[in-house]
Amino acid sequence: MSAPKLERLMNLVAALLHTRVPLAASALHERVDGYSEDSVAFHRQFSRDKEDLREMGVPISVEPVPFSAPPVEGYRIDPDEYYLSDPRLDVDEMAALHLATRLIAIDSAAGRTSLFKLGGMAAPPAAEGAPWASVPADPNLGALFDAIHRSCAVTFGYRGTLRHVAPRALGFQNGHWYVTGWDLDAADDRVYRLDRMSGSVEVGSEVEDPPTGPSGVGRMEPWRIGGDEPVTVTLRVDPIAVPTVTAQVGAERVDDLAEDGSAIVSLEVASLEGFRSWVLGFGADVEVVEPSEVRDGIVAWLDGVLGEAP
Amino acid sequence: MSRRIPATERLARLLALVPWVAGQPDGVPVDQVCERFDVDRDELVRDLETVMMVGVHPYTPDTMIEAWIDDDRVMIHYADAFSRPLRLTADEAVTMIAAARGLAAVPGGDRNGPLQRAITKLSAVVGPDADTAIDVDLGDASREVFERLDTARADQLQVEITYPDAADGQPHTRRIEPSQLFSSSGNWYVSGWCHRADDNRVFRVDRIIAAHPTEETFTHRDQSAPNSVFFDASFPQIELEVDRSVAWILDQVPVISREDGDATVRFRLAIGSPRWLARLLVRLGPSVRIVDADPSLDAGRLTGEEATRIRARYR
Repeated sequence: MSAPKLERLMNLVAALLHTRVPLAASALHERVDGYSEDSVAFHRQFSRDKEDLREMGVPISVEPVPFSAPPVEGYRIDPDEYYLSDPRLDVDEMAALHLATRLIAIDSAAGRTSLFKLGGMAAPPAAEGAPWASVPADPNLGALFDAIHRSCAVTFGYRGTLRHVAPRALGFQNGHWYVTGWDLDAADDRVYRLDRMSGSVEVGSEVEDPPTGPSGVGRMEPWRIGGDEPVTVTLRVDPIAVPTVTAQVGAERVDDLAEDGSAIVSLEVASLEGFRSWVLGFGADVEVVEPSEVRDGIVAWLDGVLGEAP
Repeated sequence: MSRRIPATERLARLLALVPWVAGQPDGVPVDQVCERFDVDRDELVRDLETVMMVGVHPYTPDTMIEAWIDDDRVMIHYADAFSRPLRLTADEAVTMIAAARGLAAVPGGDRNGPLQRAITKLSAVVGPDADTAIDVDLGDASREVFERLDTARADQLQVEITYPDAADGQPHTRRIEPSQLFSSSGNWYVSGWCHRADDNRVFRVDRIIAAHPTEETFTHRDQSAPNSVFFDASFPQIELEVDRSVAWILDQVPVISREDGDATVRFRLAIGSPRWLARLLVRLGPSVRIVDADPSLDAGRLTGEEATRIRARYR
């Protein structure tokens, strides 16, 4: 039977929110309906209830009971921490959020409960079709978001070593979640994939003034992320590859669209390796025009694949 | 006995439902409460019975919440402790903002409409930086092509698309019946019945050179499961091994299985387009080894041909 437990949990929340001073467990035993008379059974129930509520995000604080000697621990919920500040969403904004959770299916129950808290599933969008995208909910997303929000460092295992990072942004790209931030050990900006982290992310203490980097994770443009001296590379793109290249690099990098439909594109390249892999993905539909050392690098790579001496 | 719902799940709903109803002194129609909080009438009645038992010490009538149904309206009074919902947890906040950012990033998504306003308001509540702290990229595509496909899908209109052929790489026009538009591994796809192939096909939206909806309608013939295209059991498979240094390329490739060794990574792929495989092998270059391959793929020869074709552009 879950009704008595539900009732007891609600009474416990009401009591903890109502009190201005922390209440000892014994006081809660007296004041909250629904607990066992037996003291041992009460403590077992109470500790499970606390755990359940904390898991739901109810902020129960533990503070010493004033004037207690010897000191006794007491419990309360600070209303300022408990209540959601009202974002004052209009009906169309609520409907847009509802639609977002329908079309972008994030594989977690959290979307549903947050809609409830924001006022329920207002103005249900017309039901049509399957979701547009399924986004996996990584178990570490919440902890990383919390750390970003509070400017805290995080610790996690990654490829066999422990990393200490001041995280700055989360990004979902190529079907994976990434976090970017300042790696405190490497003293450099780094990007990590969440599904490669081992175990749980631990949120540590606040980091004062972590070096600021570019905002957001940034596009994982394979030619951009690297330590090479940046060089401007010009490409000739055949008509068949123009839509894909334009969508990937952005229309502002397309310098010239010829009458036959081919295009000239220029890119700032900071990773020659990433660039080579990306450009070869287009086969013979894209040609590196200049500079000559980048062009020669492609030729040498192809000769290597063909087993010829450069 | 009705199906058992964990007490914490019912509690989560009540902690949201009670403040919402209590905020409206004249009550709310039962149907509206049921719809908003995804609960049936019987369950709602049971929940309200529980709510009436909630109060604070000493549980005299003046300390108890009052909840009742009158004239098919739900009324909740004196729920002082539950005047506002519980704040969003980090999990809930990140989920909600990620979904919203994802929808806003759909090609042609409204960047100044109600969705964007909702993101801004939510960010102000859950953290001043939430808007910039989460970015969701579902893939690139021309806004025009995407919107035409989406409209045609909704209106069930056949579409003429110009698309590079998997075999010879040349553009061909074909007529499709777009049944689903979806993002997977960072790319947008459209799936549906293809008249040219006389079968179901999946196309990458960013490779579509042109799309023109026709006047002709269609009824759904595509029976494939939604969003499942990559691991077609009929596709030949290949197992490859690469040095760790180039394994980052695999982030953009839909692999069936992957095994990470100390210096190398082994992975298995299902190949729908031999040309795509040839280009992948050229990209991976000297560091790739073919561990096992379906003989029909003839990967070595294809790779040589593809490299020769590209090399010819640089003479």
